[in-house]
Amino acid sequence: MKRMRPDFLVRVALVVSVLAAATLVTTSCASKTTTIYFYNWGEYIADDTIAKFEAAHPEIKVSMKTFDSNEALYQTLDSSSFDVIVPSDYMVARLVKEGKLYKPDMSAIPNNAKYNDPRLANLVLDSDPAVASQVFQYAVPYLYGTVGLIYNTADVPAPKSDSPADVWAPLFDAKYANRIGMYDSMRESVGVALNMLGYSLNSVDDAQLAAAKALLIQQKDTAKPIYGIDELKDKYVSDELAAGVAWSGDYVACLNKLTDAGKDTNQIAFALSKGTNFFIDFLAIPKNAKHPKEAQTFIDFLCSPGIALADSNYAGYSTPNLEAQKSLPAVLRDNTALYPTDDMFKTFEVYFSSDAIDSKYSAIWESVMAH
Amino acid sequence: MKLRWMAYPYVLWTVVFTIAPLLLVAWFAFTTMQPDGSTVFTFSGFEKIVGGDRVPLDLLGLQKIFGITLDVPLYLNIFVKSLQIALLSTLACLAFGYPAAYLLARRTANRRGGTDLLLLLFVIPMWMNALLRTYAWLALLEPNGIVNTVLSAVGLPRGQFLYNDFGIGLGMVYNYLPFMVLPIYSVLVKVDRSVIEAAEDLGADRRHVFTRVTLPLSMPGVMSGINMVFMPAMTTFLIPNLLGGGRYMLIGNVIERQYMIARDWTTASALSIVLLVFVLASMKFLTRYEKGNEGGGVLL
Repeated sequence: MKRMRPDFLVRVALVVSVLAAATLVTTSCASKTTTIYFYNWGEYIADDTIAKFEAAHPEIKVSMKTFDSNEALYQTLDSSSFDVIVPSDYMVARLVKEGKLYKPDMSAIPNNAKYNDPRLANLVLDSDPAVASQVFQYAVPYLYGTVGLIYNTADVPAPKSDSPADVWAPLFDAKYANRIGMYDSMRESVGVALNMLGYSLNSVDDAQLAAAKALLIQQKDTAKPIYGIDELKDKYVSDELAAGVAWSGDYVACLNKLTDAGKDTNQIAFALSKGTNFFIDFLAIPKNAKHPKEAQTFIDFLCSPGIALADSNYAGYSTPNLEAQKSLPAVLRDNTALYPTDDMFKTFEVYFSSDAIDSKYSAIWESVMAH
Repeated sequence: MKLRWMAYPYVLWTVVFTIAPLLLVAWFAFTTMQPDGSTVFTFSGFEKIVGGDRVPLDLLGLQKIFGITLDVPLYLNIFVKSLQIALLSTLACLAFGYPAAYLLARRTANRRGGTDLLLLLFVIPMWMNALLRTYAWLALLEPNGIVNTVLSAVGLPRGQFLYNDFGIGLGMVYNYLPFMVLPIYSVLVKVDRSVIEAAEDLGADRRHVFTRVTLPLSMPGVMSGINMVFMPAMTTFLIPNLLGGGRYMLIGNVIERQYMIARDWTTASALSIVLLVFVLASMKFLTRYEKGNEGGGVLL
């Protein structure tokens, strides 16, 4: 899942600041304090959260590094030691399966049980029930999001219902040729086609996958979508694109861009289909962490309502923190695309990861892109 | 001969930055990593290139105009499409670039002022990064970009300039035109004035002077220019990526995706090898006509 690609400058700034912080830490107060290493997505934590934590816990310093895909995170885990990481659902399942996570003492993270939405634990997070049932013992939800239809209200009528065929219809409509946005990301694109056809987002059935592939190729020929990731947001804001697939966080980012530009935020809307993807990014502690106790303190801090609210506002993704949700602006809190109803929630599917899924989906996506 | 040691740094440079990477590409093309971490010899990359989906060949309206449908492997179709766009861009560069080089050379021969400035104007855009120059076209030609805004302001219909053959072709011609103009100019400017006067004395009219004297003398420059435009046009992925809306797959893009996104290094390297062999063969073919290599092009 490739959601966050920080601008190059931001990345440089982060690296510089982390280096600077690291130097400060090692030179000035190495004797008294413990430094924990936090490995996070880019632009996925409010600017002052770490400073607030260090003010509240002067004995702990936090050094943050960023990654831009779960796979990048996975590859660095064995060679480096981090104390807190932010893997997505399917990656947590994989790490649990491979025994790479430390089992935290949940009594040291009381804010999790106190504030986090208990509905999340009902989601099936892996095809193997034994693994799925363990995920919430190893990891704490940080932020969550959904995949939905982003559309320009002036050009595209609101979907008639939340059935996949109604919601995704504009993406396959030649009427909007050259004005459709698709993520250049295999799970999202193949997932939309599978959902549209009424199949599971984790299907490995060859006939179903062939149908999804045919649908995506037909879409490329008729609706002529623009494929991208970050560059799409500006195109929705400027009205160049009429509709597209989007992560809920990108929708919120578009709303912020509209506000910044002094435009009406009702220009862009977001709709979810039944059975669409729901993803959770978790806070977890790797087995090779050097300071798991301090890591638990940090995770508990991130689960406190005020901090969770600030981080959610900054990142644009939904907070599982029920207390923080109460303080959200009404425009976000009442948006069922960001905070879905119970009925919708029951239909959502989380991505599973397996070698069969990875190789089949990537072959489909490469053929569609090469078409 | 005493200064022979001065060549060693260049030898080292070539070995480290040209030969070693090429060998690595060849190694990746014929090997694959097993799940247990061992590396085995394989042809799977090359098999994937000729296998895979079969699609109708998309060559110069073969299907639309002549109604001929020829199913070919997906990658072959992309290769043909890239070749077609590269050839058309090269021809366009030649069509625009030759007259420009000719006029510039004439100005120089006639010792008219300002020629240096004109040459400079051709070169100045190359001082900027190609990425930035191409981004500028994006801002100009976008559906809601500057050109369309002006068009609709004066009551003309808006056009779809980007994400199609036109946009890609424009990006290529714009980026590569100086590489066509400069070699041709540098050859033309060296053509001895007395050769042309001799032709005129012997009764050739201006058309004949051009077709029988100037044009043949300028052929080394033309060949260098073709070389320097065709090769990058065939392999670019930057231009189709930016101006193609992410849906334009030329051979360069396919290789980039295989390396960076699909992470299938075997297929990516196999594709690179095929492309490299093709490029080397066409360079060999072109350099046969470029004996003196006066245009300052690539030697082989």
